[in-house]
Amino acid sequence: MKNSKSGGINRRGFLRGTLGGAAVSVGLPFLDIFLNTNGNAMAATGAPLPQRFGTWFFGCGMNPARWNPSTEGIDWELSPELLPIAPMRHRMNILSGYSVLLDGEANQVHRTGVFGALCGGAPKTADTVTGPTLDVLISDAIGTRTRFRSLEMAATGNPRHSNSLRDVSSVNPAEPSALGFYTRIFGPGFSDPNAKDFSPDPSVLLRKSALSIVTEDRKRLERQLGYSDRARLDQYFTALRQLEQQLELQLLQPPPLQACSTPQAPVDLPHDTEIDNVMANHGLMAQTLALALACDQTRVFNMQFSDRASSLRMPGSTDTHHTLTHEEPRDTVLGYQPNATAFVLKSMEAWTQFCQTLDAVPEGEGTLLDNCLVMAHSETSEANTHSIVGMPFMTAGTAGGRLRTGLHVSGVGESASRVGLTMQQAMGLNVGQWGADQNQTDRPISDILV
Amino acid sequence: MRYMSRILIGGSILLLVGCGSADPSATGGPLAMRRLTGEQYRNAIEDAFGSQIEVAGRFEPDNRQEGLNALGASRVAVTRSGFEQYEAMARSIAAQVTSVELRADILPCQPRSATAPDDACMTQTIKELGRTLLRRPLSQEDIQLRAEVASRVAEEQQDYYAGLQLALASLMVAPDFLFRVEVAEPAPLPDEPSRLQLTNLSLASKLSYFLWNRGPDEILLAAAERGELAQPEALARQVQRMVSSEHLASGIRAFFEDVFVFDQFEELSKDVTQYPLFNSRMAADAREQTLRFVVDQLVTQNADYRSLFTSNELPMTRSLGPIYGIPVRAVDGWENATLPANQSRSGLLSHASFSMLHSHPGRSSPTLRGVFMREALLCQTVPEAPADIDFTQFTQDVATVHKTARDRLAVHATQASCRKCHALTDPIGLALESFDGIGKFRLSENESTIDTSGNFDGATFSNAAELGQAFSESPLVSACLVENLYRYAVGRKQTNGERRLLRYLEDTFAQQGYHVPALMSDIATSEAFRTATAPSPQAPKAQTVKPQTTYIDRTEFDDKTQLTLIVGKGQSI
Amino acid sequence: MKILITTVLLILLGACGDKSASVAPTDAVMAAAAEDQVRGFVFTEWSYDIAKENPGECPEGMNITDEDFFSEEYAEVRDEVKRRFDAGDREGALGLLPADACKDPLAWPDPGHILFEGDASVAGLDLDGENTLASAGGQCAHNDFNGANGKTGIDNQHYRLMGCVKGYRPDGLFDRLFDSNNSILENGYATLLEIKLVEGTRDKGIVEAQLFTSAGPITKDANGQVVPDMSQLVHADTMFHSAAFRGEIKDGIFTAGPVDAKLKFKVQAIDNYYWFRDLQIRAEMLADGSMKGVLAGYWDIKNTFNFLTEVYIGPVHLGRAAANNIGYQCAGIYHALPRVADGHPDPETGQCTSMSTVIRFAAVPAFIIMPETSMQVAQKK
Repeated sequence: MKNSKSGGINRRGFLRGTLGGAAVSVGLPFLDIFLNTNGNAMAATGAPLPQRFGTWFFGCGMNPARWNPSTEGIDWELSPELLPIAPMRHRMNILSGYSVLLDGEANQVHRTGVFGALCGGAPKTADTVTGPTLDVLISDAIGTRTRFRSLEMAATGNPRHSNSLRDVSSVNPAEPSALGFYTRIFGPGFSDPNAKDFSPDPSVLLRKSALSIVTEDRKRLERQLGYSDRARLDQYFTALRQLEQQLELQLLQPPPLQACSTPQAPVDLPHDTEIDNVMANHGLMAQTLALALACDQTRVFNMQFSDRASSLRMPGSTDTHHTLTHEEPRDTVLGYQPNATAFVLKSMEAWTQFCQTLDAVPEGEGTLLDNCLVMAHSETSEANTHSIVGMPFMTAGTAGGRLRTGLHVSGVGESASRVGLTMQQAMGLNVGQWGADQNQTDRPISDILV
Repeated sequence: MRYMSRILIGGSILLLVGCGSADPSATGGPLAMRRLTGEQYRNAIEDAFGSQIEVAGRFEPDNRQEGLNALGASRVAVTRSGFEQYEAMARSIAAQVTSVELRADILPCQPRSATAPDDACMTQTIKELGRTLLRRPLSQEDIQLRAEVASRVAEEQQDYYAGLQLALASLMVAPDFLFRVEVAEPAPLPDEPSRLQLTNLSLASKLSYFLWNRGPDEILLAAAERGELAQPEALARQVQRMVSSEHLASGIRAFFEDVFVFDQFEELSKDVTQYPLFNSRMAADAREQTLRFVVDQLVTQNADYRSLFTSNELPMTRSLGPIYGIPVRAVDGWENATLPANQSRSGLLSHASFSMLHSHPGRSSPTLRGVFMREALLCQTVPEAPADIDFTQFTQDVATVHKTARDRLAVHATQASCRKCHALTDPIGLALESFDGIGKFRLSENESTIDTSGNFDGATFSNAAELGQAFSESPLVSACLVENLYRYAVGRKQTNGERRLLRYLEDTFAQQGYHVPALMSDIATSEAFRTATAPSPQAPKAQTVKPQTTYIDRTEFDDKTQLTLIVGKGQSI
Repeated sequence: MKILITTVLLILLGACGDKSASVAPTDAVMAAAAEDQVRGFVFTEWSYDIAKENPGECPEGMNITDEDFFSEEYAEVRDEVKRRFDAGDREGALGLLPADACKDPLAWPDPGHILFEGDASVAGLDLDGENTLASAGGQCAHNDFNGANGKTGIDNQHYRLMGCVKGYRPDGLFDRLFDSNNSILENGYATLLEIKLVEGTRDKGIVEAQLFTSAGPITKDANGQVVPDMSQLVHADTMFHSAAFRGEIKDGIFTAGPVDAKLKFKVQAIDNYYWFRDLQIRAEMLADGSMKGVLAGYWDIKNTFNFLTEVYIGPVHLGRAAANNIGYQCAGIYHALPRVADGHPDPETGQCTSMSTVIRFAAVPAFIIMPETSMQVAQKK
């Protein structure tokens, strides 16, 4: 067995008998260095915690003049419609001013705004979209090894209230009931992740082999170079070795999920579009989701608080939020529609509670929210005119430190696909450019990316 | 027209070589190991696998030394995150190459069975694709190494293509793919014992990256393998072929992208309140416009380099129409336009690209423009600004006293510490004040008429067009081009021994009518280009670190209205 | 960080910035335009006249919608409609509702539509050259309006039709849509005007003008304003090129017409065209090269009804939803249109076939590019 400087093992020996899905036992002698002194648990600086991505949708937007903060940066001033998020503002980012650029396509009301932002391009006809939604792209990359590729929930109790799709003929339906959601995850079929048998990802082994082939060339190259070029070659091999070490970690059984615990089943509440029921169901679903994430049952989720053209209602009223946005007159003193706007504040309240629920689960050095990236958005800015200019976007969580938080960034004149590109890059996707036509971009929002 | 220009180019080269008046013999400087730029990486993938492959990922930023990324390429290494990106890109490309849709078109052979190893086909594939990727034939050992592992994987996974993917990925992360390593053999002379000669293969790469910004094509590679490039006539023929090829446009583009600092476009942003017209697409179009102009003038028309500063032809696209105030027929794509006479606009200096790039987010900047012209186009050094500057005296009273940039900058003339540098930059920068922060023409600023007259090293001018004329007549401009082009070609500053060569190149450039392709050919066939001096085995003595670039970058404000000048790329003083 | 700094920069040195902000056309363009004989314009504002200062009274109240008119019928089927809709059976849900007069206007008898009878300060022109009164009798008799600045004889039957519809009142739906300039900014097409100097000078002369629909949407800047001096390609179908018509520029006022014009309009669920007959233009030419004024002419009433009701999202017909949203009943409008029509009487029946209408507009300089080949496409319905 060759003992090259990189400390790696002969790839021939390593490969023999380990491919074809055969399980690797933890006790391989040459991998002892990754176990701590007791030889059982992983060293604290071991495998990184799983990172999760989610979307949180609320319908019928907001009033731009009252929602958009007037100042940017880290000390941005809380606007009237953002007051509810005050307790969590430092864990969030506000991205205002981003629009779906139409480029001659019709603004399909309550549709172009959301699918333009999620798919990166204005839909050309009423029955198409320009590509899979953002969460599907991300789950293709990070969701293939968990029990559920993604989880969709609708606090309004209607399984058709979902924006997650690969194409219009395959829309991921949403869980309508909190109890049903719980049963699906923690009912029969749930297996404690801490007791699982581990089998390493064969593709990781292949990647390691490719790198060790390169290492063989080192001596030959070094002979050809002068002093300073040798130093640069050293740096190259150091970078290579660091990636190799990352891959080696992935071949080991991950540490137990300390944050995972099985919750109690929730009470079954009525699920309809009355705001109190929606808030209650939303809360229950969020709690179940938080533990589902902590137990690594999925790494991608989509929560619809209210649907496109929000059908939320106040108790006892038959006027939906959507109807009010079109029919309620603007109060001449206040300058906005008071009843319609009450739903905006409720939505912001619910969003805050959602983030607090994720934040209540300790994980690693911080909380579950630290290892999440949640994107909140709507299908319009001003619902009354179906405006898709300056739509509301918010993020929560840092994706394991990849995102800064606490900022307000204004993207006036820019396409919302920049938000989608930023989300994908923050989740580690290897994408440099995203979107269609006028909405195509290769510039993420660097203000919030670390 | 193009054919004619190629004949002209080819003819003039043969003429020069045939004359036998060789360049003053000079030995090249140290060998370079240069990291591929993003563009060069993409070209390499296209050359090996065709244009259907999508290269998705982010490249590490380039490093600018002495005003050129080409020099920085000889200094940079690969960081951990950069390497992760390379590895991810390699896997993605390998997967595409072996995919069901593309494998028949790209791979030189298909296995007998897709679910079992096939050593013969695997070996042949690695050999052929490896040769294109690494720009040299692989040794038997190299091929064997990869073929064995690939075959084993193919067997275990019952998938030939899984094995091939691994082999291809390993090629694309190899250091001699990502870096162009110059290899040389001793070729000492009595008075130069450490003289080296580049191997044929290294020379082939150096030539093709200089002239085409990509790896050597099959003809050049084969000629190098046969050892032909060691013979001057054969070398000259190859250079002539390459300079007459359509790929020359890519090489010229890459050079001017570097000299013009166009990578700054990636970070460019404007204050939307001042310039609502501006967006990133318009910026990309302005950048493309200047590059198309240069290629059109220097390659297609094989024009005199100096005419770049006076020509009023300009490729135009719809989004730029409002900036220049002219109608554009094409809905998308480009068409040739003539600059309007009443804007005193002609030549490179009045392009929107430079106005946009060398301005502040909310207003124009004569100083930034002046610095760019001095450093990039005249190869002069502008010292950094002193740290303790108080600009409050001219930030007030803007509406009444300091209305135009000229008024604001006039204050520098009163201060001794400011005068010397600003006298270099401001007079010529102020000529471009008729173009605002995004290049749009204007007659006044804050309702005060703009005065664009001035003096450039003795020549007076009254507007940007006349400044362009003065530039075209200045010997500094062509000398600077020669120096930049040489440095770009060899990836480092010229050594003392090469100074005579540069002077010779300048003289020849002038004599043959300032044709850039011919100049490139002169550089490519010079002795210094294909020779080198041996590297020192010990660590070099500690050198004072020169600042990366003496550009005065965008100014930023703190909240006390003090300006802090930020020098270089984001390092404050 | 950069953004914070530029904001601070802006605030502190506001006046330092370019006063020659890019929203106004370039000095050079204006200089050239002064010499050129041909000037192009692209519309940057397009709105119906919502008489904000003095919209007038509706003593009989506002018009009701199908929802109100059929409230009992709706109440009976509401739950079942919702159930079917939630289950995805859209057709079944709609099938339970009363017949849709927006699709078939004769499905119901005339429910009655409240017209605006009183006085209001509307914009517009005296199109027929008379101060007409409804009491004068005749099939097309109508009351003219008195305008804001003492003008009399203004023909604006569109206002008579819609003046008591909620969505057309101040702060109603259309007011808010026009405030956000939707008809320009979300429009898949733009309206173009070309002016050629025939005699005289740019400031005082006779001109020949033409109206066009563009081939595609306008270009917007970061603030959502129309970019001036942009090159606009004209639509290939000559149906949307008006004939050339005469005009005059004098004392800073541009007047022109009459001309027939068909102008495309594609915003949200509408993809249709306006058909204006004997359209006149009156606009003020402003110092920055732009113009602002009114188009006034006769809107063919069949085209009006079609424009209002042929509203789709994909295959879904939304005419009734739009009517409910805006505040009228299609059947009511259908029968009211001939009553308010005041132009182009049918030679046989004497029934007027068009309705005087006012469009407020503004336009900025643009370069108008004619397409390589124009084609005559078969007339759309």
